[in-house]
Amino acid sequence: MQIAGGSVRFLLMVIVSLGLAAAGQQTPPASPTGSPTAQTPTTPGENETNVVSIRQYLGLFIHNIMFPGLPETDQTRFRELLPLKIGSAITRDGVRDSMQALLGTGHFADVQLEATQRDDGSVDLAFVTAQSFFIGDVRVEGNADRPTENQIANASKLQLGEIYERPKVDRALSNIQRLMQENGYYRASVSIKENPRPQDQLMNLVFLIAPGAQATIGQVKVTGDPGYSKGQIEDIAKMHPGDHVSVDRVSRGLQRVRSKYEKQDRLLAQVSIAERLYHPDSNTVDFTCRVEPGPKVRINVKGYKVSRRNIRKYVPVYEEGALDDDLLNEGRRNLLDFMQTRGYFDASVGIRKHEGDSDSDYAVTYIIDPGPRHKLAAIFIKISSPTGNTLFAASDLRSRMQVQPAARFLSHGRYSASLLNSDVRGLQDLYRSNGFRDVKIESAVDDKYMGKANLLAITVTVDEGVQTRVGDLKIIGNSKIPTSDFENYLSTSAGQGYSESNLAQDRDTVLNFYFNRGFPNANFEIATSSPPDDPHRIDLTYTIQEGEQFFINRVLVTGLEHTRQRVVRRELQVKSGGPLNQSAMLDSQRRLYDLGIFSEVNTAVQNPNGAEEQKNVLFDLHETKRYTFDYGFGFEFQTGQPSPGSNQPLGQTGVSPRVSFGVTRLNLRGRNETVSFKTNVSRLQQRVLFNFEAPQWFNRNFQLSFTGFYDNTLDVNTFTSQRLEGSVQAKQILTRNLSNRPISTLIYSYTFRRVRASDISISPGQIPLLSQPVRVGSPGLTFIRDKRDNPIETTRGNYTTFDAAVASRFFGSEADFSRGLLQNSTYQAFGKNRAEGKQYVFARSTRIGIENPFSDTIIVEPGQEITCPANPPPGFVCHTLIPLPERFFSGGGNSHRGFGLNQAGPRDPFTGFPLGGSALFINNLELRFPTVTVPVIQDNVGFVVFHDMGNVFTRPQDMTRSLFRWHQANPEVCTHQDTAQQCNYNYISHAIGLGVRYKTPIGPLRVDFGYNLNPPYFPSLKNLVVNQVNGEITGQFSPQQAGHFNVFFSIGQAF
Amino acid sequence: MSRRLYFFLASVLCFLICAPALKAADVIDRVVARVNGQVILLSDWDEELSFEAFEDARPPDHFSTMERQAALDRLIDRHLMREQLKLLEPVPADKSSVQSRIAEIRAAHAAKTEASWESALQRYGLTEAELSRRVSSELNLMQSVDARLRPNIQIDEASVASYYKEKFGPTTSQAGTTPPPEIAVKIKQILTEQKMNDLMSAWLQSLRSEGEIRTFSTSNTAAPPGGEAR
Repeated sequence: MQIAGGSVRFLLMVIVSLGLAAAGQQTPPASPTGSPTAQTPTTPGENETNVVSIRQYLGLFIHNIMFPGLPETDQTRFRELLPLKIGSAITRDGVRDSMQALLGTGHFADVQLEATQRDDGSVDLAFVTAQSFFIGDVRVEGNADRPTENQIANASKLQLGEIYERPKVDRALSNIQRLMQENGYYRASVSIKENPRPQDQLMNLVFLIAPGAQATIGQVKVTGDPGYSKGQIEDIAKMHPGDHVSVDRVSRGLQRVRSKYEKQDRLLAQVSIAERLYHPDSNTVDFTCRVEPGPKVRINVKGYKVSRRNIRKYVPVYEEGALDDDLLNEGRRNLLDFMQTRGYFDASVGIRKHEGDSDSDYAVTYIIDPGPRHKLAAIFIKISSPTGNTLFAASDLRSRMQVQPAARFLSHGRYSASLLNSDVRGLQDLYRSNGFRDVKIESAVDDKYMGKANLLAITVTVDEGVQTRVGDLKIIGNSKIPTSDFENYLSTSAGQGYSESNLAQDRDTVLNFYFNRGFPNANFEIATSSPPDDPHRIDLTYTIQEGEQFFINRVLVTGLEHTRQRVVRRELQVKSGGPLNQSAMLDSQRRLYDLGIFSEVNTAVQNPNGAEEQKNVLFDLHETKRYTFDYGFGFEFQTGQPSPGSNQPLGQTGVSPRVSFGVTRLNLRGRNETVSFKTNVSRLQQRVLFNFEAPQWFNRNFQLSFTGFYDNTLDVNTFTSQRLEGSVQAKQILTRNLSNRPISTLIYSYTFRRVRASDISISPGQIPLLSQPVRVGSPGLTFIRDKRDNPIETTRGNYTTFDAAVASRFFGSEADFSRGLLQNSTYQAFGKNRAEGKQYVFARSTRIGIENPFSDTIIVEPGQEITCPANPPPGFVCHTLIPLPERFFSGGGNSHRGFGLNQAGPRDPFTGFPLGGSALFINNLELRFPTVTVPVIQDNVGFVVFHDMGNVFTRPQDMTRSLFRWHQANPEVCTHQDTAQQCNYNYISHAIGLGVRYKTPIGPLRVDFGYNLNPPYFPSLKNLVVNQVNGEITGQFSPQQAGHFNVFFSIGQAF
Repeated sequence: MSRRLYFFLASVLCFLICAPALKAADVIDRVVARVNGQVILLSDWDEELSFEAFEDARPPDHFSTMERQAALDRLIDRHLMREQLKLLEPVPADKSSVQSRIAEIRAAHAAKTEASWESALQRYGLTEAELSRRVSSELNLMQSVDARLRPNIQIDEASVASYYKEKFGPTTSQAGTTPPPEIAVKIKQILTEQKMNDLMSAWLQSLRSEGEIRTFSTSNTAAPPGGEAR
């Protein structure tokens, strides 16, 4: 037993000894998790290793090179970087260059070289490294409202992707502490929490801020000679003891004091905070304001009447709060320009500085000699060329000139000799940069144009001369990308006219081409030479220095809390292994912003200064708040507006207030899906809507949405519709334009709704059928092609929609009908001499809609009665009608402006209320004038003239027959009760009108005045009474004609 | 055989088995500083100390921590200066100056024979060629710095007079306020050297503030991430 016991001990000894031996051979244990060096098994200097002189190892052969703790793939990569190779001898330079190469990658914060001599005399080298960390996501927690989290993050000055170092953290903490103090949080405690992601070498940071109580103002002391008491200064600055300290309060306070002095012409007043003294015990700050009012400076103008307001506007001394020669001279130039725009082209402005009078200590007087008043009536440009073909049109040159002839808002034009000289020089430069080196431009001014004194005309004569052409074009220096890859994108080619702007464009093209393929240091130079015998030929040599190509190692995403990685990854345009493409990074950033679920998207290259070819690309995202609540209040104003209980078939001119409330939950389940609940209450409509939307279903070109809503609408005067509807809709984007906006879109939908019309004001015979609830189930297809340049304010392009749906019993519908609506709009800008955005726009829109009933559903004429007994006999067919809310209605600010809202088309022959129809034709023509400059509201107001034509028809065939009928047929039949049944509405109604537009960021505010040239006559009842028990309508027959004038107020263009 | 003997034999056996494996790796070099992206290694620092010790004829391994740190600072300064002077025309020292400086060092070591000289060099880990290269490099740098800074120095007569008055004030009452020519030359030299020192300090200060200098832990303790920057 004793021996056995001894054997056990012996074995334990052996095991312990072997364990020690193994520990000696392996790399030491990892550092504690959570430390920035967590993944580094050995930190340089951490081991109990012998530090020996390198001399004893110099010349020995290297058996192996290792990087303890790094994955084998990385070891291979780094081994290739080293000048020291396995099998070679150790040298001082080799060691130094190897250490240099490793640190140069930026991957390592520290490197140490360890050597172990083997029995055969060779050496195993181990580069023991501590990996670097790079700044990742930066957050702020626990802060007060001011300063904002963004301000704090900015104050840290920590840049995404840059190397993370202790001094930077210390600087960040100090900057934040200072920012907090500036905002009165002297007791703020600022600390930092490090969340390392060692596998990505990222250091995510959270600044933890406990702001503490905000300091208050203790005392406000005033030094200098302010001319006010301390209390008055406090009142002016609005800085009183007890007020909270904030940077805004102090800066606004100083500005108020400065403004006070400025109003007294003390333009040089010096107001500053000389000292701020914090008292920790009371948490108060004493401010010492230094106030030097300075002399009173009066600026006057003599020789021409310039208002004080204009003096303040044109002399920058007031704005800058300083008085020096530069500012006074700038004021002189501004006043000269002011005079010239008023026709005083020969005006001169001088400056005289002198002692002030009783009101001022110092004065500056601008002395203006206006000279005679002129008017620049015309600018003539004559261009000649040896070839007969001129490069520029006269209008192109005129648009580049500063001198301008008299126009509506420049009643005397703009001219001075120096302006004209400057224009001539500018035109010469323009020609020379396009290869016309021999261009000659002369100008002549006629001061007695058409025999009238002081009426000017300028004639500019351009002799283009011979254009220099490009001879040879050589591209050299590129080795990694062949010339053929980009030469098609170049603007310059051999034989074409030489143009400096084309060269500049080529430079940008080539550099962008290289930048987008991972060559951030690419350089491009252009050399030109001319053969001595041909001065009008230039040979070009493009020299490209490609520099090093960088690739993407990994794409790292930080900052996601709820959003799934997949949602972000599918937007990224940069991929591992691809070239480091800056524009793809920006494109990815834009696409991520477009998702609408991120408030901040930052992108950067990790370790930008590292020498490695493989770079990580970082995307740091801040998610936006997921719940949004919106509420609003507004109103609608128009003619023909329906109102509940009204007995007016034409409706009334009136205002309908509207309130709305909505809750939206963004980024549902982290998948960028949205659920929203919206309510909308107005006199005309009460709506509750629930919507689910997946904007990227399968891929970014498919969108899926489910919608359910209930609404109670009175936008047609004839009835109130109650609609309970559910729909599922899939939207497929077929094509997009270069800026990624959808061009062609298909919408597949299935809609199921229950529609009920109540409060019906039409013939009693139709009431039972129309007031019954009707289920409508219809699959639909909508095609949209949108080639407008700007959907809000279109100036060119076209827009087409085609909407088709079939409601059938097969799809759960109680009425059987098909429906198609085609709309096509075109927009054309004209006025080629006008600047962009200042052109006329001719807009046209045509709408054609057709509803076609089938099976038992029929169309009836207005007033025609149909019945269905409670127990129909066999063979009796009970017909159904297209429900009123499903019919076409027209009239109003967005359709036919010759009618009030939904007032066009057939009417009930008994009451005169609109019935809607199964066919629709509307054509709108609109000429949109450019905005004009008006005092106060500047160039935000524009006008339109329009012509609207069309109508709503009972049957589709009525529409085709009536397209060329311009007047209502036999309107007199509508005015007699016994013939009212025959009243015919099948004609095209025309309206002309004038509109005013006021530009706003969300679209123009619109007021349209429409005049209907041929409004319909129709029968109606006066003193109409609806019996609520039996539905019978009684009243006194009183025929009417629809009104000529209609007014509409809305936001956005009519189409 | 007693139990104690068993234990002893087992321990010896274990030691013999494990001894080769227990052999720890030698740290032969590490980064001690990085100056504008260029590394300074522990071996550079050691050689610098050896060379300084050899120049001063003092024992090669008797340096205090402060002296070691000062040597590293000088190494960093030289690195910064060389980087700047690379942009200028080099001003190489002539061979005779190098030989003269080596002779001074040799005299300081009292190495009268070749053998004693070789032995001295060996003790400091140097060779004749290495010494010559280092001395030459040092003199080149000094001359280049001199050529860059000295043209900016102007010592006027008033400064000389002022120095003379200040330093020799009590004795100048008889001699007047103007120093004798031979003293004026000396004063001019002193003032020039003072000015050179001032310019040199200011230059180094600006190089250090503009440059990116990181020093790494030089002890056997763990380095902080990214090292410390100055």
